[in-house]
Amino acid sequence: MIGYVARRLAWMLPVLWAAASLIWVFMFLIPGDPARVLAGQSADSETLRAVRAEWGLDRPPLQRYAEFLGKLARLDLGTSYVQHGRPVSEIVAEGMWRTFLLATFATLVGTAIGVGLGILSAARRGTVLDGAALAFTTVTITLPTFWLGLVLILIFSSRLGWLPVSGYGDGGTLAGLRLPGPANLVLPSLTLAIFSSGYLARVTRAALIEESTQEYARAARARGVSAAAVWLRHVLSNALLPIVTLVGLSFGQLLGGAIATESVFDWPGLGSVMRGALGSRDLPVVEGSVLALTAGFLLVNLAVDLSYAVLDPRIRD
Amino acid sequence: MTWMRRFLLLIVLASVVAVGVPGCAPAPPPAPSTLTYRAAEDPPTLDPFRAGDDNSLVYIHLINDGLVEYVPGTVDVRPAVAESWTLSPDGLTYTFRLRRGVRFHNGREVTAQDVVYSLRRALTPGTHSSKATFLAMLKGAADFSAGRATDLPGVASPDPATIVCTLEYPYGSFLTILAGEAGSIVPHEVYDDPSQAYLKHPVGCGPYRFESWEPKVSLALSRFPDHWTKAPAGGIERILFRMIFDSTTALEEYKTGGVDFTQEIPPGQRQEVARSLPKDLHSGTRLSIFYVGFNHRASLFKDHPLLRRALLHAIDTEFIVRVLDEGKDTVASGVIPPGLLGHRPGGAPAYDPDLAARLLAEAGFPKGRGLPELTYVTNDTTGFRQIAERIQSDWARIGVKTALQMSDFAAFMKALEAFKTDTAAVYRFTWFADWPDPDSFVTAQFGTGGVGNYGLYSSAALDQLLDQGRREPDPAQRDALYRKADTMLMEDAALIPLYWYGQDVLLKPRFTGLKLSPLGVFGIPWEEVTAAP
Repeated sequence: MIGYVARRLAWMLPVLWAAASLIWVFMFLIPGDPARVLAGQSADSETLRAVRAEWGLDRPPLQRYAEFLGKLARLDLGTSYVQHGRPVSEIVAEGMWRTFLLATFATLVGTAIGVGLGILSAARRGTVLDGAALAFTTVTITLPTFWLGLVLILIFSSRLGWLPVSGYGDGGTLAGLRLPGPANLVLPSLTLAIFSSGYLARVTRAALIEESTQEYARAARARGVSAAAVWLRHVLSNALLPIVTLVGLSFGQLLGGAIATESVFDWPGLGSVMRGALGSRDLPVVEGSVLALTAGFLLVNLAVDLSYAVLDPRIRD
Repeated sequence: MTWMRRFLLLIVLASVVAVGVPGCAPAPPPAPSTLTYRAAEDPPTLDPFRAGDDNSLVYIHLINDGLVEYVPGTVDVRPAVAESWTLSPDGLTYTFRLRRGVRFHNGREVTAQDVVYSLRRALTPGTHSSKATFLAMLKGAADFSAGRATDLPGVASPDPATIVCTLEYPYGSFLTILAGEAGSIVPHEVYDDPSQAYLKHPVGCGPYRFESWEPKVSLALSRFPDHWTKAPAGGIERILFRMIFDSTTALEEYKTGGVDFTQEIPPGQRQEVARSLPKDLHSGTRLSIFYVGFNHRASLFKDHPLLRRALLHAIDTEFIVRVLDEGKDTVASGVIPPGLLGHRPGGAPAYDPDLAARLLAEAGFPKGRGLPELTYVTNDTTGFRQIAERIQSDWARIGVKTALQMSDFAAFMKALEAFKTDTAAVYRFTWFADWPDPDSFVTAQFGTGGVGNYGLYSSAALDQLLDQGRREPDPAQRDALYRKADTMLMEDAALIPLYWYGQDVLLKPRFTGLKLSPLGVFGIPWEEVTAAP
């Protein structure tokens, strides 16, 4: 087991290198000059040249790439161009923590809604309830998250005044890390949760129905085990693999894919960091963010794979 | 099956969280003397000499003071850290008398040496300051900022309470430059010591001092109790800047009381906001212009002034301003906006498709035949996209085909710098006066080698006129010279002016005394605004 984990962790290195290099090439190819963004459109060419030289942007691309990899090997992500001298590791860690909180809450809520709906509609297959759940999942899967976010703001903040429109709020600190205001967390996590719950409900329903038609389920019923006990103890436990896989995948995706939601709610996470850095061509921050996202995604996948071993003894062997 | 129980417990817990948390109430509103200000993004820098964007200038103007400052709501200049000044009869030497007892936020008294240090810092090559061009008229500035000399004779302090600025040529707007960020007075002990991290914790002598900054979330300034002015009764004690990127979200925050001030009304909502929040909306003009520029390197435009004129008369500017921009802006009749020397009141170029079609034929392209497809370069925002599409359809009416090249701002700026001699490109452009003088407006954009001359327009006659205007001490003469320059540009159809920007802000009516600056939102003197409890 330890050997397996070590191998998987070692495999992350080439993947991270590939991701970093791809983004590097991509950022090199798209036009735009961070020096211009910082110095403004009325800066003269002399100033721009000086700023570029300060950041090493005037050096040949291959040399810059080699320097970049060299720094990376020493775990040095460099400093931001545009956010004047701030270390990238600080910017990324801050964003990652905030995104991690949002993704965790969204995953918890999304799992509750999705799995709950899935169980209900599988258990009441063919009824009105099942149809309603199907309609709900169809709608939520197709809704763009930024639109859903705005609608939730209009209802819960503008109309009802129950929740803040946007922002991180202030929920005190935990071990030196700033916590969001609890009320600020609700709408963004609900938006993401509703979005991911649709898929989850579908997969849960399908997996449960498949398992419930297996021989062992019918045999258990025939032996007099109650329907509820069969569903919860036997069917659900056997249907968990695809559900856990999807929860893990969607958590991994939320770590990096919540840019639209973070924008609407002004959640200061990694999505906001990336959006700003891409707009100003702040290469070190884009690189740092992508590396953090890739690493996060790979680690979540590893955790999902490891959970299989816990969930299904056959895989452990 | 303990894991099974744990899993179910997790689901139950998550449901409780999902259902229970909405019961939490939003945070209580801050104290009445606090202004919550919507800022779109973190400032890229808080260094007054490196800032090149409006966003950074908001903080920089509040944290720093200079020898002189703008009279609120105007571009007139009044004493600040200098209590008085004299100007020599030849218009070349300004002698400032320092106000006594002015202090930096770190408690130290401001001296004449600090002023010399700050102006030198703005011009030192190592600072990489875009403000060096602002101060180019100081004697010796060119050699000093290029690193050819270590001496800057244009700035001196003969005694601890006196500063003497000597210019290469008389420059009537010199004081307005000192009233802006280029004239900020900063303490050397903070700016020379990287360990003090002035970028994270800037120190100035302005009415508000830096309090805290949580990137992407908020930045707070609080009133500096030892400022040389006395705070008005009920003045704003603290300004909390909240970073809210999306303008729609920001407007909802404003409506629900999450912010007290916002400056960007989302496209298409201006009329509705004006109707529903009449007491909150403050509007003004801004020393600025929006226009369509030509790539004057391209022989197509350089050799065909009639083509440029045809394109000018084919655009329905009135529609763009009245409908697309919902009346926020003013149709431009020339380059120089009202409020600057050289402005010519009068009618805008006529929207006349028939005239445009005739001019196009005279230029050698009847109904657009023989004319290559033009490229319209713009950055992609809702407002700019609408304008681009309107212009595209206006030009199509006279037979001119146009492709739209839209990108984000960084790529757009790069595209402007990459124009070639055969690029049949026009581009949307915005210019805001860096200081209230036609020199920072016309010369910068249409003078040969001007920092904002992305279309590479070049006319020897115009350059001569602009140079004359820069050195002319008499305001009436200068006015006449710049009017002439404006007329020349319009007669040559060097650009297609569309509008002079207006500015809209929303401020909760419990705040009174707001004065909009013609230079932009960053020029609002919040230290003079008061709040009712």
